[in-house]
Amino acid sequence: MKNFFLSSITTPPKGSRSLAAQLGYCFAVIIVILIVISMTITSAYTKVLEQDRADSLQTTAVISALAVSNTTLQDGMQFPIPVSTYSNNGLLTNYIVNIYKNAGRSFLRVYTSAAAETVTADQVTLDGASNSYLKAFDQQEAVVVTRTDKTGSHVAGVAPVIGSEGTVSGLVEVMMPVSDFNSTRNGLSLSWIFTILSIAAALSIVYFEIHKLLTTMFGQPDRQLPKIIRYGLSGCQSIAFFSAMACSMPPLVISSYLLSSSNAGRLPAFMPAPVTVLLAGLLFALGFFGFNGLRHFFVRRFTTRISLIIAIFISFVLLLVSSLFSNVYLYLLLLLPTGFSLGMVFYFQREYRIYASRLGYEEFSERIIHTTQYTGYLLGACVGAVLAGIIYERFGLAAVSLICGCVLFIVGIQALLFVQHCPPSSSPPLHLPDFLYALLSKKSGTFIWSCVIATGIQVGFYFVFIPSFLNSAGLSLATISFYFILFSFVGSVLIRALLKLFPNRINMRGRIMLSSVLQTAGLLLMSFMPTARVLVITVVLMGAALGLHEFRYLDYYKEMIREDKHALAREILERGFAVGAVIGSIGYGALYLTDNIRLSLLLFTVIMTILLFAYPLISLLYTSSHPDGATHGSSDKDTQSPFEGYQDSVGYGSPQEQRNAEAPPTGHYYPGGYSGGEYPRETPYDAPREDSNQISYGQDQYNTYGRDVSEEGDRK
Amino acid sequence: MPFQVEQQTEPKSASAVLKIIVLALFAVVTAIVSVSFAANHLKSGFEKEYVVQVNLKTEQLSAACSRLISGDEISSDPAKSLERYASLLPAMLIDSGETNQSRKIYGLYAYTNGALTPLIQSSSTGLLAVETPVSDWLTTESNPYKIEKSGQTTVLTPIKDSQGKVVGLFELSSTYSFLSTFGNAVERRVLMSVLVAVAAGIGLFSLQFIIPEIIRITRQKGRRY
Repeated sequence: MKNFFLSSITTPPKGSRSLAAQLGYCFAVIIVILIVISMTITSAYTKVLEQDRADSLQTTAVISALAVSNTTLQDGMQFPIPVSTYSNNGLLTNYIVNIYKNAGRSFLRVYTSAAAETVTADQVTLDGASNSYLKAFDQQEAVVVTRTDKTGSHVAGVAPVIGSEGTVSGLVEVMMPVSDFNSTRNGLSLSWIFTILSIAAALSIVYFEIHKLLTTMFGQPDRQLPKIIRYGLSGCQSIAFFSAMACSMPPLVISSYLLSSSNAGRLPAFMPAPVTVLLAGLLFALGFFGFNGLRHFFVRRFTTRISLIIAIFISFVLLLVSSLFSNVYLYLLLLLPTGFSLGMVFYFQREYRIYASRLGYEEFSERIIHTTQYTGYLLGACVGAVLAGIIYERFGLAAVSLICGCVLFIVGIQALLFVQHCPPSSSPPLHLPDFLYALLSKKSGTFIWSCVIATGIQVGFYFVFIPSFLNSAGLSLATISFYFILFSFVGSVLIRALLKLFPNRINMRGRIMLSSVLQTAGLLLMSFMPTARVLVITVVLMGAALGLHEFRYLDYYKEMIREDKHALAREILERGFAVGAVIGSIGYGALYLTDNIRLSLLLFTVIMTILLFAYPLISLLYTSSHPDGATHGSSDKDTQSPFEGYQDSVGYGSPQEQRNAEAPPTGHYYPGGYSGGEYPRETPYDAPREDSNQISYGQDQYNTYGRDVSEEGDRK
Repeated sequence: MPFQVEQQTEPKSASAVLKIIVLALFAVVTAIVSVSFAANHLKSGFEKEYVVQVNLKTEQLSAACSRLISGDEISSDPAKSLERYASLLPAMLIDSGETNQSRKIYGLYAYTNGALTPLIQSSSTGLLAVETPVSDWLTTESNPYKIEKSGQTTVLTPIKDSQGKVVGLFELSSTYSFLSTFGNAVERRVLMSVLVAVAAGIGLFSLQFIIPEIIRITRQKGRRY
């Protein structure tokens, strides 16, 4: 024990132990500091509030005593003026007014404004009174005292009543419960504790990410690897983190900025605040998720890295201009191009993912990169939400834009350093008729609507609904980070751990069904009880629902469509997600157009339920109508659609079904052939990566098979 | 995992120093920003709560006082009413001493021929009734008219006689200009305390790295002699 103690003193912590100590210290110190200052400020202001409440009690008692002066104090008398009220946590509550008649060295109550059920018919003497009552009576002065009787503790303003003879005949007591006297709406409330926790967590996360960024920057890259992956997944995750951090800040402050502009009278009369928020959300979503053709053009014209740098510079300028002029019209006008420029940062990462996954390294498969980036996005959004809330509330919109721009410049530097070579992907263009055709397909189209578009819609929940909701509930924008952290924890930690603990227990259809149930339950709960506390449950359910897919939709979708359409699969799902996000920004923004949030949210939930359950229901109907496992592809009607495939009967993750799938059903079109020898396999996702890489990314299969040719020479 | 760059080599001393400086600066800046936000958030929340409370108090006191003022007295004999209310109003609207920092000021006016004549004014500054257009407070409903300025809430309550005719005006203002000064002082004090706490925290935290170095150097010197 002595040796251990000595060694821990003589050996400084190193490596991950040192980092863990720093993070723990950072988290604990921030929490302690924030709690201590909250308590200090709360106690200082509570004292000020109490002083004013005492003044109210005293003045009201004096006025009440003057109102009953020159009258005879007797049982059954009426109080001549209405009983005054005070504000108790936003609710108006009546003071309790008692009038006492002097009876020797005691006082008899002759009137009370207390509720009838708490008043007895018997004569009541003043109970629990201190000498201050006698002093008020004898010296004819108004006092504020605390009195405890069988009904509880009260703070009372006491004033003497001057009778018709010019002498003191009794006392008027105006009182309120001690709990109301000491209470405050602010201070260490539950929502504030949530906010403190999320601030501490977010700052620890960003500390960790900066530490990781510096370590990656100062570390030696593996020069044996292709340029794009030399800095490993750390570099990739770091870019994802900082880009999500920067890109989440502008959309989160939209509603706060526009609502404060509305309160300041800077919005035109014909444009109510909810309409403006809806319009702003739509413009940003359209810019951020739309215009893929234009992005593709820029990337091809300037290369991915240069177009990223240009986009970052333009975003910075646009953000700064829109915030410095503080003009709502200009702000709205610039949201679309700002969204587009910020969307380029994510488009760059998509290109990175596609290119890096094509190199054929197991550690850089598309799902691993996507999961790594997703983790970065979630963490970045959590930190971005805290920073947006803190900076906007304290320093205003211009500071948010400035910080966002600075973080974007860090992303630019990271991109130049970590991604030294990233040619644009050569996906075939997805024309609108093709996309519509894909959406209209009976089963695969329904899958897109139920899973991909619905997931996109839920982006609106986090970036449009929650900020507006917190604003309407009077909570700080920084509190949003708590919900983001909760979502990330449930979706990326809890659900992922459960799926790893119980692998192959639930197939893809089951996951989709479960996801639909959880999302619907969350939305229903929220529509019945739209409070910040219920939002916690909704976010937990949403997090669980949206963490179930594990980025397997693309593989699953490919199994549903014909193989010659595989090249379009990614584009279709991406566009579906983008369409969903735009619909979500409209849908969730429209909820605030009416005053009754319950009703509008309930209607929205009904629509979402239909959308979410469409695919599971169609799936069930299909299975029940083909009990022998024959697929829908065998029907004449379905084979007319090029997006309907042949893999309907494959159970994703279901070992029994996979064992049976040794040969494809007859009567189907298999342009890519069937590698029957590869079945059975553990899961359908364990198929050789080369196959999917070769076809699905729209590359020329002769020069991009497995690895990028341009990298070969570099490696040699 | 050959791709985890951070595991490959230990950073050199120069980069390690740079890393420590950047991280320490970041920790200090974020701590200050988060504390500044928290202090400001709480301050603005409490200020809003205080203003709501003072507004309600002013409205309630003004309503109660105006019920005790007789409109008939003001219209029939302004001189007598001046004498009566000059002693009554100060007794009703006392400021509760040094503990409470908000102050009450009031005025009583006779309203004749479309103009206000001051009867009683507790302060020569801060009263707004005379400079407020009559049309603002003289409405058909004769409801109290509230004016909110920075650090002050004023309620103008029309006084009616027994015929229901408006014959006077009672003005009650609560001033709370101390609030912003108080808030700024609290915020400044908290920020200073946090600066000291963070600096001390970093110092204490670095002890775990400094002490082993000192022990190592001491041991090396001990072996040398």
